[in-house]
Amino acid sequence: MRRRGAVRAVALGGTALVVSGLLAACSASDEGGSVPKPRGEITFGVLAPLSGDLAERGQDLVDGAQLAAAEINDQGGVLGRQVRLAVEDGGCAPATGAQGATRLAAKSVVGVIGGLCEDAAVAAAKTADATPFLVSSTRADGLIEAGLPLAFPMEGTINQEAMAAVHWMGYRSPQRVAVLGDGSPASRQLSELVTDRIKADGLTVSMRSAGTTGPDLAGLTSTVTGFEADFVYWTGTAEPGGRLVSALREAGYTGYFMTSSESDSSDFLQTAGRAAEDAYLSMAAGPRLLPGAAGWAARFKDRYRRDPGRDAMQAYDALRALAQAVRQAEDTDPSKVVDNLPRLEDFTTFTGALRFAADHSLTYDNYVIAQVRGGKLILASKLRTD
Amino acid sequence: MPREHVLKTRSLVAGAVALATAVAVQLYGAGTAAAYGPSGPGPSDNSAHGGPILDDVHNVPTTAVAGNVTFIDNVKGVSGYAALNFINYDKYGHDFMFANGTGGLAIWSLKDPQHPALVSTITAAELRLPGDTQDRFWEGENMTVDPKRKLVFLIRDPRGFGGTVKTGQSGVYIVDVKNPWKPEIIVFHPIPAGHTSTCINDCKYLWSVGPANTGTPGHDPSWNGVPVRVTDIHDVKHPYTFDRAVDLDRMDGTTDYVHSVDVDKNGVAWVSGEGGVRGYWTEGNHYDPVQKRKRVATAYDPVPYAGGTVDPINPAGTAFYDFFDHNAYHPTEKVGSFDKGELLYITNENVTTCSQAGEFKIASLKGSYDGEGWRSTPEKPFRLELISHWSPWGKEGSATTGSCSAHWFTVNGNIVAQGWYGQGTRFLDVSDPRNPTQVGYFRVPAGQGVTGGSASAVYWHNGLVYVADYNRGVDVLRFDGKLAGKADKKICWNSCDK
Repeated sequence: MRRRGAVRAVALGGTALVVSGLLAACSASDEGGSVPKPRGEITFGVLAPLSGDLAERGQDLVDGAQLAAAEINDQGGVLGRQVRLAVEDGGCAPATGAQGATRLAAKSVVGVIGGLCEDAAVAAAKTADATPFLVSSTRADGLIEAGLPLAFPMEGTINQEAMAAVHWMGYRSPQRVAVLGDGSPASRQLSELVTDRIKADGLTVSMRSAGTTGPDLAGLTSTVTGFEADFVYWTGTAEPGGRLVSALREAGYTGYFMTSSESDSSDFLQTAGRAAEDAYLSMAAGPRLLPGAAGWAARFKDRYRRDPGRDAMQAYDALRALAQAVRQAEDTDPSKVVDNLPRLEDFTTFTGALRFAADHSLTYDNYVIAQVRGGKLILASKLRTD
Repeated sequence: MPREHVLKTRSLVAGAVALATAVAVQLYGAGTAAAYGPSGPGPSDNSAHGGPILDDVHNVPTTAVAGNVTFIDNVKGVSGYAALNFINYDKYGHDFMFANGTGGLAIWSLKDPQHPALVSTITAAELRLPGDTQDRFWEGENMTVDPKRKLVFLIRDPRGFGGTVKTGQSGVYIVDVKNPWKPEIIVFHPIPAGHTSTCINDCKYLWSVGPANTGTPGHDPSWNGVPVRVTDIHDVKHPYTFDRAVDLDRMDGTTDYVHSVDVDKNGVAWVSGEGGVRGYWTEGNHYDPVQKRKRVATAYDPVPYAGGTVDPINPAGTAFYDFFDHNAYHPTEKVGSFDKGELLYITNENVTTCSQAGEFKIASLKGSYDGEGWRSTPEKPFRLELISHWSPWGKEGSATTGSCSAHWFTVNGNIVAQGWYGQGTRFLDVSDPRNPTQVGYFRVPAGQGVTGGSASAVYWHNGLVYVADYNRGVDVLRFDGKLAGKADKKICWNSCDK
């Protein structure tokens, strides 16, 4: 069972990642602690777990950064200098994150991208506290709470996921909303955020949680039917979510059903079967969902002989953003680069303009709404008007 | 001696005493941030205001044409202004006044309400975004504020900063004014609307509207103008604008230009623009006459209440301006012989020759409570009954040339105080809604050393009248006539959350 927190596993479309072998080349290209020269190359650091359970995702992240570096170099580099990457294994624990950051700092990188595990990313950002760090693949809450002046998370917060759900409900004009969870801390937190907000808007809402060991589907179903809900939001994990929507449809529920990003998994679709049809998911945008990423995904596949995952897309955007900040700063001085990150000009990611609030959270997060159609997820809304 | 000259002489005495002379002193040169903290250095540390004040420009209108109005002061700040708003600060024990116009934002202490003291500014240059080609904010009509969270919203029209309706960037600057000496821009949030904006539901949402169709992404090609865009501002660091507009199909079935949103004392949001004025519940459980069911109203899915437009005042009129209801006020009280809440006061803006310029209108909402205004079509148009209309053309204190259309107004009791561009400020007694009667006026023709007036908006506030003037800045006036009706404790306009 996956949970939020240290790791937020992201579906990779069922495609096995192939370790490309570029890692060795990357490591060989580092500058060994020397100070960057005025001319020649600019070195950016990449921090990702390169061993253990998350090695495939880590490699996906590295490959996305490599593709960005290659394309930047094809277009003339940054400030007339070629971009090189120094890649370090940051693991998935605070200690390994800090160690990876220390090694990158020793290589005098201009900035760092990456970070896939929240605790490791926070520790790395605290360690490399003189280096701009675009944290590409972990939820932002821990980084924001830490108040790290040079760290910029490129994922949203749990509150932003809650608001994505609330706003999408707004588009459906519900009157009675049932917010159901599995009782885990993360599920409960998300449920409460959503419930509080819906109540504030005057809608009638019922919040109920079931045990994590085995959600009482009959109880949850009777809650929905007895409450006469016209919108159900499930904040628990994927497989029980699939069973819940099946039970609801079997009981005659005809209203809307939406799940949180916890159900961004084949488990949900497989468990729910046809009952998942038309269900909505609030989830972080990935290349599978975004039509605008198709061209990039094709280039990625051409280079790596596999489809890109979310981590690759996030790392690709992060490296481009960091390069843009250096261009705008016309300098590699960390303070100047950081000054420019919140005001990137004419810069968009695959979800839209990239902007940071004063606390470095994304002003417009990357949560989107997917819908199950024909057994597959399609993009229902980017939830953006910019 | 004509009556107006007698009045002028009397009215200007107080102002002349208050202002020994017109002064134009800018202590700090261009490029210097004009914001000073109460504890920081300032040009004039006046602790009576709670902090330092900046020198300001005062233009004495020695040419003014006035009746039943006393000129008290004029302040300039950063430019002329489209709109004002006010926030009370418990901390300081008095109000501050906020104005926005082409020059940006200016903030005054109203410790002495008769003589606003400039405390800080955010210039248009400081509001520039990447790609802007001019330091010209545009234009912030019907400025809205959050008096509880101490926020000011500067709505940016795509025509600002050198842009056009097709190329410009619209949106809102959210400004933290907890410390009025140090206003801080929290965020610029892009919105595919940007002529005026209004706080909704205790400023948890923002309704932004207009201008004409920009042709940019997000705009349906069938729209003739920009309707209401709803922005969630619970968290001002992360505003969210819904990709679904409100108040569609307003001009006999066609989505058109919404110009203003003004919330009444009952919480109904009145949406004005091409095709009339329509009210919406944005909170609570209400019967929806369009969907024919009772349901919860929200800011992003409001419940229709009543409204529509009237037949053109000009008998031959069918053009855009004939149906352009610029802004409106819904008195919730009984007025004259009309039922409680029956009337709607409306500005019809029409910038044309003075004899045919836009007028102030009063309409009856009778017959519009069952969704009629939402089912109007060109073939079966629904129209409100026009009760009366008024224009300064031919009235005392008026000129025959210049800009003459009706513009923004506020209401105190039964006295409407309204801006009329070059025709200045007009006070209308609407105690008999069938016969609005002028009971005061203040117009400033240009003259030697006198900046000619162009009144955009007029605000009753704590016994005085403040005029946002496109040319002059802010004029502070006193209405010397008798207040008709029951004086309002709270002057309700725009968001009404005051």
